[in-house]
Amino acid sequence: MKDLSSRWALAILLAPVLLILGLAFLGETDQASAKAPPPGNAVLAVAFVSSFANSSSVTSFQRVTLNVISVRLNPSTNPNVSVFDAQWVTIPVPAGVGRSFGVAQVSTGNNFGGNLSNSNTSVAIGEGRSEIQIDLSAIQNIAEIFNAQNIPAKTYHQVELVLDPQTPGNVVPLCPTLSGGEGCITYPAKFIQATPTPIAPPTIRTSATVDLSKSQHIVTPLVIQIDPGLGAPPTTFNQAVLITPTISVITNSTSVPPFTNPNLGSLQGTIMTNASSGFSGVRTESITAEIAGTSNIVETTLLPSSCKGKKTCEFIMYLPALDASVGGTNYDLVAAGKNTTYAVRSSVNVRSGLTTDIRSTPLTIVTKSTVSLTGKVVDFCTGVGVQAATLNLLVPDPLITPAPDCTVNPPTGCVVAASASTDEVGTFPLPGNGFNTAPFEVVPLPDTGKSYELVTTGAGFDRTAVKATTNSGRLKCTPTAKSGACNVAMNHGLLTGNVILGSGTGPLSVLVMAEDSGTNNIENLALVTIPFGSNTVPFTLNVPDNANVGVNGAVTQLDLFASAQDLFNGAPQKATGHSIAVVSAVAAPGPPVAGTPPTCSTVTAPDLGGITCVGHGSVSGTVTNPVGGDTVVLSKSGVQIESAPVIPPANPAAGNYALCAPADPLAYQLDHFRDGTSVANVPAVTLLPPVMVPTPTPSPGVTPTPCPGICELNPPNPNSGCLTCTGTTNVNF
Amino acid sequence: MFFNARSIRSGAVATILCGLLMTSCGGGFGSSNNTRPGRTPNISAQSSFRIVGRIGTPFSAKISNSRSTWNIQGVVPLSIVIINNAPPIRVSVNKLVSDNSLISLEVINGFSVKQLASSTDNFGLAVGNFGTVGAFAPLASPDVRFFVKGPSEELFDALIEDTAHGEIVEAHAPALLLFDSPAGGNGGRIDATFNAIQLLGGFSIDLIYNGGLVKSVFTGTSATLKFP
Repeated sequence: MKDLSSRWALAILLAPVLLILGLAFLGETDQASAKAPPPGNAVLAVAFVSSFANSSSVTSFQRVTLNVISVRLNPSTNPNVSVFDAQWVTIPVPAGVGRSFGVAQVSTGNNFGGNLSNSNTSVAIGEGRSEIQIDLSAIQNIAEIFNAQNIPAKTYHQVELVLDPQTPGNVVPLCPTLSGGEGCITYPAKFIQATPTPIAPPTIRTSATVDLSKSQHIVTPLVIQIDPGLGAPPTTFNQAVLITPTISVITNSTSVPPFTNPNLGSLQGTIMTNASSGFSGVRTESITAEIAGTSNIVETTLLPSSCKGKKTCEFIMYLPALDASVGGTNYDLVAAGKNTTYAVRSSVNVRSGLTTDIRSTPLTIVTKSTVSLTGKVVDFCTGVGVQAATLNLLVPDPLITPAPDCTVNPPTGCVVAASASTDEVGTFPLPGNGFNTAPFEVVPLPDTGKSYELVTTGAGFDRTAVKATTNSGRLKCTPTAKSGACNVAMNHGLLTGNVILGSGTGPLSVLVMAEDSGTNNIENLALVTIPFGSNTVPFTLNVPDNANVGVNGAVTQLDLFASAQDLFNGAPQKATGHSIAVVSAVAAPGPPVAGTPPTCSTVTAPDLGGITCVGHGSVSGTVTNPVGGDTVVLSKSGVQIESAPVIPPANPAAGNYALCAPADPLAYQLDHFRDGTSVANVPAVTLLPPVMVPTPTPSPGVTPTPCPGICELNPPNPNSGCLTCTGTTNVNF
Repeated sequence: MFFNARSIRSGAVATILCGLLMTSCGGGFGSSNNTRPGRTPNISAQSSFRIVGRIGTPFSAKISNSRSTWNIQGVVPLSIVIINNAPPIRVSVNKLVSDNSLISLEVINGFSVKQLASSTDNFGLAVGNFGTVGAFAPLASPDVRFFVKGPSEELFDALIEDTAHGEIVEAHAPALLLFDSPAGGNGGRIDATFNAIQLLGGFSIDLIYNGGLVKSVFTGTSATLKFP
């Protein structure tokens, strides 16, 4: 290739861009986040909850998901208004924080990529649209924020859910108790089609009154309840599961803000500024709600333009929350903006159906220069950059006395004011853009004598905290000597061992996980492949050393488990058909040994052996006295392997749980967990083994095709064919 | 969106025409040769992936086609496109954090989302495939990656070439472009030209060759990277 080709390529690629620019300047662009909000619009914040009232077969499924493209609303009172009607307004899946714009911008902490087009709302049929996969089991007792969008402030009467027309959902059935299709593999869902077969997929629509006509400049929540209308579980492996989804609108309990809704918690607060001209009105000031103690952003709202020039302004947020009977849900709040300090509030309790009023303790931001916080995260022993590390800047809640200590773990009373990630060579932060600055690019300098705690975490590394202080108008990290950049060295140890098959040979990929002993707090993993013709492969993975301080103190022992990644009919599956190898209570490696370079300590674990094809299995039943947020945990030899949610009260199947696990001849233990504590258990459950479907006998001229199975017995027995699993049911405790 | 640019110069005029047509259809290339770039036929629809969900969630992914496997560590969101692809494709993605944040894997062929898988479990697993797959292939050699880190959300077009093959890609940043077996797997010179469409800020692009960072670009809305 000659240089000429690249210059040609540059010219060729620039041409359409310049043309687009030309057209864009003639028309309206959608990038003006700071421009005046469109008149006559309102922000609608859509949330989902699930119901299985019309899905009597739900107890036959381990997981039910729907693939959502958008929610649409129409002002027509005609429930049969055409899907092509011009008045439909679309709220798509979130394409990125800062993309939507409006009077009071609301965004989620999620990103689903955006369309393969520079418009996220006008996409031609056939073009790639973002989709979100909603796990209906996970939103039975707590709502999930879908997205918010600025739409015309009028009254809407039709609400429509748009699912992927080809694959509207995916389901994982439990193993059948008598006969049926293989369980614990993923099946596509399919709409039930009326006959004669219509060309268009059926619409999922409900009539409701969503009155936004008086809601200009405010956010209105819209909660949509989705029932998948599950059909029968599959009878063969290549069947789709029929669904007839229905939706209904859970109406708001009040008609003026703050709205309340049985499935959302409302939060009302006040924000203040000391800026002489008040809030800027260019919508740089935001309030973010995070799950307490984490950097998991649930919702961010920008101050409305109506706050411009004011020194005090009120805000309202609608947040997913558990019911008051189980303590609600705690959120941390962060108010931030360009050239302002952070204002934080920790553990604000929000309860569904109720309003939490924190207006008496305003969030106060103060004018302050902001600077970039940049640097690099490296492995202390090798000096190599750490990829995908997370850096959280902790700020203490000023209302708590004595002042919280953000150096401890957990840093109770401290709030993650800004978060960043490292790139492929360990540098941070990843870039923002001209309309949506990365949080680490606008860090206010701490006051003299004060500091931020910068906590870095990464899979397999020690939690590492450094202090960030002000030094001559720049940030300085200690112990990093260099001012203006923050270089973080992370300690760790190494764990090595071997994965060994109980029978058969590779190729087979095996996932090895290390977790804090006696918990399901996983520290790191390695995906290794047993080569063709071999039955073993070594593994090495970074793990925190025994000086690392977890939320429950130093972690001195680790549990290991190894799970094969099996294929079913040429498709990888989440649930393995091989027995899971476990090793418990392996001593964690010691801290690095000083030297040049320093040496990270290595511990050799006992072999993870005996991984054998046993086929799928499943276990289901009911736990007594379920509470929202409960889980059932499956363990083997004291090592926690997986968990599943318990269906909360006030549901037809309250207390139900369902798990897929290999049909290991060794017993599992099941525990009913609430808030991290086992409240009941079944110490030994042996799953029913799969049945063998023999390969038909060949006849002259006919070579029968064996049915697919999750794995193959080795060596084969006289009845070898495929394994079809059997469900273990009614394990109630 | 996707056409084989074996002869860039001979297709120049037609490609500019393609640009004209592109602007009239929303800024996206078509997948059915509706832009008619001369006699150069479309390649098969590209396979791409999006690893999306809660922003900032770290993950580890193993992506394999019939020739090569790539191990990737990154954070949500990330678009991944295989240049010079050789389906079928197998993907395995694990969260790298013990919390209930969402990770979602979208397997895309051309413009269509073909498969979704997601997890909120601790270090949760999402798997996907396009076509009937077997074991993971050997590690990519050479392992060539263009990492368009920013500006975030920017929609960009890129022309990725070796000495014999070129492909045009359109994606949102951050995006990782994996160049499978450039020059037939014999190494050789590669280059890429990137142009921003939305102009959300200056590019930040890294070229990583066999694990080493060999080129970086930090500014501009148009960029070219070459190696060696």
